[in-house]
Amino acid sequence: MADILRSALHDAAGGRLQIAEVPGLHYVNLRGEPAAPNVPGAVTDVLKIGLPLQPNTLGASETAKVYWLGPDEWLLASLSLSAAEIVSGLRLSLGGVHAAVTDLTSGYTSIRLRGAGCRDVLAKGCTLDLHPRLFGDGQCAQTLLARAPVLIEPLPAMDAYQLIVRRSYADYLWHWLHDASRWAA
Amino acid sequence: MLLITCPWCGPRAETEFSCGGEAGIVRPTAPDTVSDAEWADYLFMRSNHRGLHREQWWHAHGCRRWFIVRRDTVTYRIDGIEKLGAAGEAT
Repeated sequence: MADILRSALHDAAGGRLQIAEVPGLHYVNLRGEPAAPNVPGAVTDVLKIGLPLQPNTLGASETAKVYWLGPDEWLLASLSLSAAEIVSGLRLSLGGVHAAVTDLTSGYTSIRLRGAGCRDVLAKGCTLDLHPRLFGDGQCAQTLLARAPVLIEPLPAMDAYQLIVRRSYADYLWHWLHDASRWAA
Repeated sequence: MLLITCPWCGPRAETEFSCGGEAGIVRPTAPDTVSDAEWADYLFMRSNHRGLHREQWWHAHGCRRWFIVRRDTVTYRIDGIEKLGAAGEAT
């Protein structure tokens, strides 16, 4: 199956476009009032990242990212720390503050679309203006891609986009990307 | 398609949203004491207004927040956006 996908992509875009799963990421959802001092503090304690308070932005370190999902909701994604470590660390730092920390690792995965024309491929199924002037480094957006809910993060330095998607949609989205790539520039 | 400006995420396509009907419907504070007619009025009766209309929208595929859109039901023109709580609604 993987061979078929790779070879067709290669034929379609001259091997310039790559679709790959980003494995090994741990996902944790955090909900809480950002005005409560322990909420931004807990994220800084555990991941050494300042909590992003601007809509559609993210905070990043070498090994982890914190995505803004809503005015009181964030997605934490980490390579180095396990979800159990993040969850227990956050709960310890949050203390008695009214907040929710949920391990979503088994529910999400990431797909990275990389190479020339990756923006054109996404634009085929997404209503967002993906131009780097409006949607660049340090930004992220939850939207629909080919009717599947995704969190899109542009990675301009790599000429790539990362799509965080529910695993139940991942297979569908993978095939849709593969199909859409056949007409990429 | 409508271009709706979410008060948090900015302008997004209508497909990301779900409409929750007329805004400002207040649930009776003591449901046990109201008559059937008053309860039915709260549950079912809407103004079906022609012209400028305040309605609830939910950014289902974005930040998942409810907010209020003032929209002209004749021209579809959106006149204004409010966060919940701004006009006294429960958040």
